[in-house]
Amino acid sequence: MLFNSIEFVFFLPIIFVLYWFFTKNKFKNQNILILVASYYFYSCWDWRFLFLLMFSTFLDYLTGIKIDESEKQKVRKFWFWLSVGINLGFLGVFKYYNFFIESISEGVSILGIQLNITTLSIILPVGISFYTFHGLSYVIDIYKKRIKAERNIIDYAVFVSFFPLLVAGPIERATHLLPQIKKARIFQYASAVDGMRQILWGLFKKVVIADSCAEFANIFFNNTADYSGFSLFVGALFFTIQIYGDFSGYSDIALGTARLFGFELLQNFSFPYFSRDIAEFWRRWHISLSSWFRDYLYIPLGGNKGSLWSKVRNTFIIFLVSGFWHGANWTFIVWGAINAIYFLPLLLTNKNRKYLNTVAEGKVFPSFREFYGIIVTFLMTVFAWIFFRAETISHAFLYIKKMFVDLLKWEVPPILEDYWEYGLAYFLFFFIIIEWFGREKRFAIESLPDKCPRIIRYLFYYALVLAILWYGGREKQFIYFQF
Amino acid sequence: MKKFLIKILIFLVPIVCLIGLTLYYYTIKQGDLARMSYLKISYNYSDIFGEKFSKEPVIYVDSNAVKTRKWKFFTIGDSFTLQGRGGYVGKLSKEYPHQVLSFRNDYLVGLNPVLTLEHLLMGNYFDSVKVDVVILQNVERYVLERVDVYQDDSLTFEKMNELGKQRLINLENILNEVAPPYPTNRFPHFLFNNVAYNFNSTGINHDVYKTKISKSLFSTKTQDLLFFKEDIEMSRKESSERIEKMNNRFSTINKKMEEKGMKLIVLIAPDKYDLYYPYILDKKTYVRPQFFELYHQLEKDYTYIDLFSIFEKELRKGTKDIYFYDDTHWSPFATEIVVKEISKAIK
Repeated sequence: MLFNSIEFVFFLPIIFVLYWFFTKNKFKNQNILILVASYYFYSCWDWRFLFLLMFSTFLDYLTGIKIDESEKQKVRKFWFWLSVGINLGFLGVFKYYNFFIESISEGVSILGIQLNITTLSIILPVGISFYTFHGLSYVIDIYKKRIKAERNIIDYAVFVSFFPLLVAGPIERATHLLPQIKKARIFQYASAVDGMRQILWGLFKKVVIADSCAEFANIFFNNTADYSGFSLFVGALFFTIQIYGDFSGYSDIALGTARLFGFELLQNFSFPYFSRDIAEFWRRWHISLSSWFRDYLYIPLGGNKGSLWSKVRNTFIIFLVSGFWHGANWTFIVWGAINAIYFLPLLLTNKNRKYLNTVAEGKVFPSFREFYGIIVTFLMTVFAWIFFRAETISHAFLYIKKMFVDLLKWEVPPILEDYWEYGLAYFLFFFIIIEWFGREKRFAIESLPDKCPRIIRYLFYYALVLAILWYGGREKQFIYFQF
Repeated sequence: MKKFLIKILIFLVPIVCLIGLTLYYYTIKQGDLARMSYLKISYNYSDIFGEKFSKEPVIYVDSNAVKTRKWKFFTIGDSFTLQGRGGYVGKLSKEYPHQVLSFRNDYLVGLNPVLTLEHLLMGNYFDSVKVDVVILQNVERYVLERVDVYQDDSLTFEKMNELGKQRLINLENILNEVAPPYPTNRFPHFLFNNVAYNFNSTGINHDVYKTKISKSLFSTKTQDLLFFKEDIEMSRKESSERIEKMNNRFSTINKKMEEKGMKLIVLIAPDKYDLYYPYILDKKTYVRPQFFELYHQLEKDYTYIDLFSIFEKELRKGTKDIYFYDDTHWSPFATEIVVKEISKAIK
């Protein structure tokens, strides 16, 4: 069940009504309902993997208690590594088995040895990367004695399986979400209205912006040989916008939906394309994932403390692993490596925390320096995204090579005339403007009630709805569902 | 909570109304022009044709009965031949039961009936399947493009069998495909187009023109005409040279058919725009088509049924709904005339 599907349009209000009218505001009842709804939501994707989700949930619940109960370090370590091993094992098998086998075979074939390999025909369980990391962060936090184990299996299962974030995040922390699960949620009018507003904006980003950019990005990436120069650059731009609209749109829908049920989830995107340098970009893009890697991988490795070598090593590890998390393909690893190369100079010169506030805070226009920083950072991410989108490394290199041929020859390919004709260029323009003016908020139109009279606001909402209906019609999967 | 629910419900009211209206008016009963333009057409427009929609089973070229006997008619054409609502082949099949064999549109080579017929003639198809009369139908707006296409190939009876098998496989694949989700773009299109057509002759989509006419020629409350944009676009590409080329191509086909002892009947379905042009009020905006004026000047050594003149006469008499109001195709009233003219032509 996708967020932008007819099924979800019926699912959400039904669960909403049941939740607020039939649970008597008791959090136990609320949690049971949320859990049932979440399992139903997940089983709409593929009911077979519901058992995997349940197993993973039970495993982490049990090992969490075992770790918490024992004072002996050896026992604690045993249960900890059991949980980590099984969780990562599932991830390894479902997501990375074929990649490792094929890579080993290719590597060995360079030496002239041919291996008889067997790949597995496995469907990747939706959301496995996300709920596995939920569970891992929980177990790690217990092991590190940051939190106590949750004794109520229902409450814990809700933490893992809460349907708004189940299949594509944000990756929540037990310290943030579990306390909310363990108390009754009272309906908050302002929060619910804000949640609806966020859902609407998220749908607009996904259906109108991301999906329309996807159609054009796909043309250039799937037919690279037929284009060159400016066309391919535009294709890369389209993908850059697509992935932002898709993923941040999904996050907005997830956060908005959670707020309808009285939950506040972690913000996952904070206008990353307005970043002034790459370090700021990584503080604003997929925040829940990058902070997860920071807290559970980077800092335990030593972070930015220690020798130059350890700083470089840790930076590469975190970005390579982050890339690898996205998919079982060398392109993602190279994408991670490129971002590591971008980040390192800032880290080594202690400039990685230069921009902690919002760009042009309190102002309408950025300074020339800020504008320059935004453009350069944006172009750097566009370049890196080419690897993320390409099918193979050689495809990425071909794309880049062809892109630089006649790059300055500003020939607009005929296919882009459709973009103008269907008004998509206007939507994109207004989208950027609205995002810019909303950059100091959690999502772009959060402050609309403060800035606009009611009638204008409602006309704007209806315009968004009509745009979503107009460009909807075809369900397209969220990119991050493949992770 | 109450305030929230009330607010949401009030917000949804216009959206639900829009969805409701669209679902009510936008139906599969509507013609192609109505569906392309999203215009609000009377829900019961198609009811005026009552029982005139042909229900006769059509025998296609891939049926087992093909080789068993001689056929009086073999029909090949575009959507005016095998038409969903009231096509002439159904009526011809009723007039001449078990004597009409029809070529499937999805077997057409490059969607081109002219080229396909030539390929059938070059192959052994008509040696295997005995036919008296071949009816070649093309719509005015595409016929000149079709006769511009040449391709050296042949369609044999065996190849047709293969096409038949492939078709069954394709149908099975289609049935196994996941149904596409509901096209929600219908709703804003319905809203915008029904407003836009009051200010603009092509609405938002620019696929369908809507213009006022001087007479009530359709069973609708309004006095206007809907037609497909390509009727105008293609009429701008007409020339006497191209029409002469078309005439010569038909002659060549006729000669080949005569060698095989068959007769050719050529039908050219007039564009709705061309047929109704004399009644369009805004003559400044709309160019007068010249196709039939030029075509009728040429000598023809094949049987040509001048449907344009026949329909023109009916319109002058005030006959309504010769073509569907909401569709680019001719109506069952017209196809009855077509069948009568075919019967006259073979006597």
